[in-house]
Amino acid sequence: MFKDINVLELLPQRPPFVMVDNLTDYSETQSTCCLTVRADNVFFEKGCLMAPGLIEHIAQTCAARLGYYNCYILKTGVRLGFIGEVKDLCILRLPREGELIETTITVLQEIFDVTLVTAEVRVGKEVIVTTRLKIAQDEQSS
Amino acid sequence: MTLQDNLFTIVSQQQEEGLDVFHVRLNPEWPIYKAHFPGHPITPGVCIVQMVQELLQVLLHRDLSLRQAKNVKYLSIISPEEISDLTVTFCKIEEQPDGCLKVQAQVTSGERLCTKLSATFR
Repeated sequence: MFKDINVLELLPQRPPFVMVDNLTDYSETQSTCCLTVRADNVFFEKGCLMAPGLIEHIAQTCAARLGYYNCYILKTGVRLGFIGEVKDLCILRLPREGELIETTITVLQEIFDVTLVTAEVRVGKEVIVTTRLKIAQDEQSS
Repeated sequence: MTLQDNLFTIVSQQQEEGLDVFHVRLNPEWPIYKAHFPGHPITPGVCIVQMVQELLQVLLHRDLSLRQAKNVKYLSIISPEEISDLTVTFCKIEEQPDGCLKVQAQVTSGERLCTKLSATFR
């Protein structure tokens, strides 16, 4: 059912700066998004999606979760969001063109407009990136 | 995409009190500002990481890629409507036995600290 939602409905970002294809799972404390690595990505270089693209993809997985909550549960609009902090980022390898990456974020803490998550990026069962992110939401709707 | 000469240009590169310092200018016409976000141009935080990496490559004349980040803290939003000039200071660059580089850098706009980064590049 999530796959039928156009991810642009959930995100304040617009192409060419959209780095998730679909929200594939949502719960209050955990969400998953996927992305197929393509050569037209802003952060695609030497056949791979580079670190900034991976971090943005994780941040937009958080944004899609918040977007789903705001649009489908609260029935308000999408809000702008920003990365407040990247912590303990570990990149085991970069995903290559054509690979499908799946990212699950788990909410550790949510205080007012700040969400702290832990994230895991996988290709199939292989974990390729782990990190923690702090995301801040703006009061402004996009 | 290389962000140098797209998002930013290098105005000067110098040593200040023994540290490597770059002064850069942001390009408010960069098309990504229209996507992030429509009507509210904000420099994507991940582009600051990429900019630091590209400046490090200019400084050291070698190809680098981010492998680990102990932390990257964003303390202030960088809107090209308010901020056009940034200073990137490399506070520490330490070569590890395995060839990785441990780097501490900060990005400031005047007196305002915008980003602090502590990361490992290879």
